[in-house]
Amino acid sequence: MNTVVQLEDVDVYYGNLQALSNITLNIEALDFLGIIGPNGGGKSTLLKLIAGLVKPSSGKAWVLGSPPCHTPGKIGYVPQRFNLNREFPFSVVETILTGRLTKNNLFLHRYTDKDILAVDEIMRTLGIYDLKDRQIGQLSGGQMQRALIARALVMEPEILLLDEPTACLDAGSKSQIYSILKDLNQYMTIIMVSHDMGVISSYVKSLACLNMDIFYHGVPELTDTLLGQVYGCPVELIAHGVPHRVLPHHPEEPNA
Amino acid sequence: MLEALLTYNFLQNAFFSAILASIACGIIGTIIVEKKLVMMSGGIAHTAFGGIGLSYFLGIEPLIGAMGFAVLSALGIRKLQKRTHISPEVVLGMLWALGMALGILFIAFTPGYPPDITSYLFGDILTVSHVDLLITVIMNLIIVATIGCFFNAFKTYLFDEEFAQVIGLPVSWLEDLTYVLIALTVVVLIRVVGIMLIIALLTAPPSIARQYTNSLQSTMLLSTILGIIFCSAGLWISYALGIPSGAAIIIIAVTTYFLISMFKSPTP
Ligand SMILES: Nc1ncnc2c1ncn2[C@@H]1O[C@H](COP(=O)(O)OP(=O)(O)OP(=O)(O)O)[C@@H](O)[C@H]1O
Ligand SMILES: [Mg+2]
Repeated sequence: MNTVVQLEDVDVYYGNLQALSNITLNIEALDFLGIIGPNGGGKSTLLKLIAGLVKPSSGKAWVLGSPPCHTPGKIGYVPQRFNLNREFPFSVVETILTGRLTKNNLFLHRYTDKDILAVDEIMRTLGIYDLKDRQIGQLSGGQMQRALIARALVMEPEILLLDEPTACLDAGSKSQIYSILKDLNQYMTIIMVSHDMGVISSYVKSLACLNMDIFYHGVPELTDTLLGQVYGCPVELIAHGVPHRVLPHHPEEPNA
Repeated sequence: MLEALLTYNFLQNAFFSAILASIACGIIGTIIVEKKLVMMSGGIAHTAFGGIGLSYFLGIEPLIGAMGFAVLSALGIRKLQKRTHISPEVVLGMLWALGMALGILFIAFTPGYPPDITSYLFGDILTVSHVDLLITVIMNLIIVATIGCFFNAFKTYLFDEEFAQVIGLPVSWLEDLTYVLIALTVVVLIRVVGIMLIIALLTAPPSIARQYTNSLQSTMLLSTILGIIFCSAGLWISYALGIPSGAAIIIIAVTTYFLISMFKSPTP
């Protein structure tokens, strides 16, 4: 297996505020890594680091063998907060098409028929084809989230970074997206932040718990002690529909 | 009017310069409105006045000095913005006034009779010279060629800077370029509507156009057409009634914007 993301003793500061401390993490190709952790734990910062949007204050970082910002076009990124210009005169199609733009042929660039077909297909897969001509700012939260997942997917990236990609989605769309991700995972490394333990348990191949530093990285099996460490307080694990694999036997639980 | 236009050279210059100004204005004005750089553009325009003063002092072509000041202040504002944590508005406000102050200072130091600066402050399209026209043509070519050649890159950058960076677009370079193009547009517009009135001609056409279209290309195109209409109408009124052209153009543009916005059914 080759390593696609390699972090060694990475610290990230925003001014004086430390967001990540001493992160050492290797992510293998074709992994499906779930990242959990409390609010403000640095999950989004970790994804931005891999995407090349924030720089390590110290330590070393490689993505696909080069420094993070030198891998354009190979990394798809769906941010948690959309810092885009909502009033911009862009339709949904035009928004998703920008995922096909690469830095190499910007001069007199035109989107090809192949680009347009790829966008059509991804819009159909994600169920937003009917919205294609809507102005992007008019979409609902969940529709917007699907449009931006589509924009990342048309890039056909080697690594897909998803920051709480299904936070606004209804249950149906959620499981639809996860089954799509599962398919994509056959040829794409996926790194996903989520607060949804159910999802983490049933879809990811490995798990990282992050609260400024990495508390755990390994198979997706959670224990109370570990979660207590990460979240700083006992966490209610027993959510409806959580498969048992995540939860090793639980002493206090009556029907375990 | 048509007869006069065919007869008088100064009217031909004025008309030609109105059309060129409208093209620059339609393209860059749309970018300014969509990227919310309206105040920034006002600031760049006002610092250009310092360049005009300096040109009089040195005895060179005023628009050349204006261009130097506009481009340098545009890039300077960018640098300062990145470096300091103060809100850009604050820096902008200071540069805005500093430009005007320098202009007045240079003019006061200029020996001899004080030059007529009102035509630079409020525009006078009827006095556009051949040199002005030549400068305007060159600026326009630069603006249209730059945006035209890198249109998709600009669109992506204007829409979502973060994503543009992730896919490896030269975001910082595109940003610099945008600011420089705004500075060049300012230079094109100085003779037409003047430093004080530029903001309205940059913003009114795209704001009207945006109510009728949802694509960047058509916003730019429609803004250009609207600009040509406003500028020609202003030019005609100015010639016929003998009132200042800049004022006429701006009053027509802004009044049209308000009338259209008022009679349009409100969108939720
Ligand atoms: N642009 C920024 N400037 C300054 N501080 C920031 C910035 N972005 C994040 N931070 C800080 O860095 C820390 C980590 O933030 P981050 O967004 O990575 O957390 P997170 O784990 O994604 O949280 P959440 O679950 O709420 O999304 C927080 O303390 C936050 O306040
Ligand atoms: Mg986050």
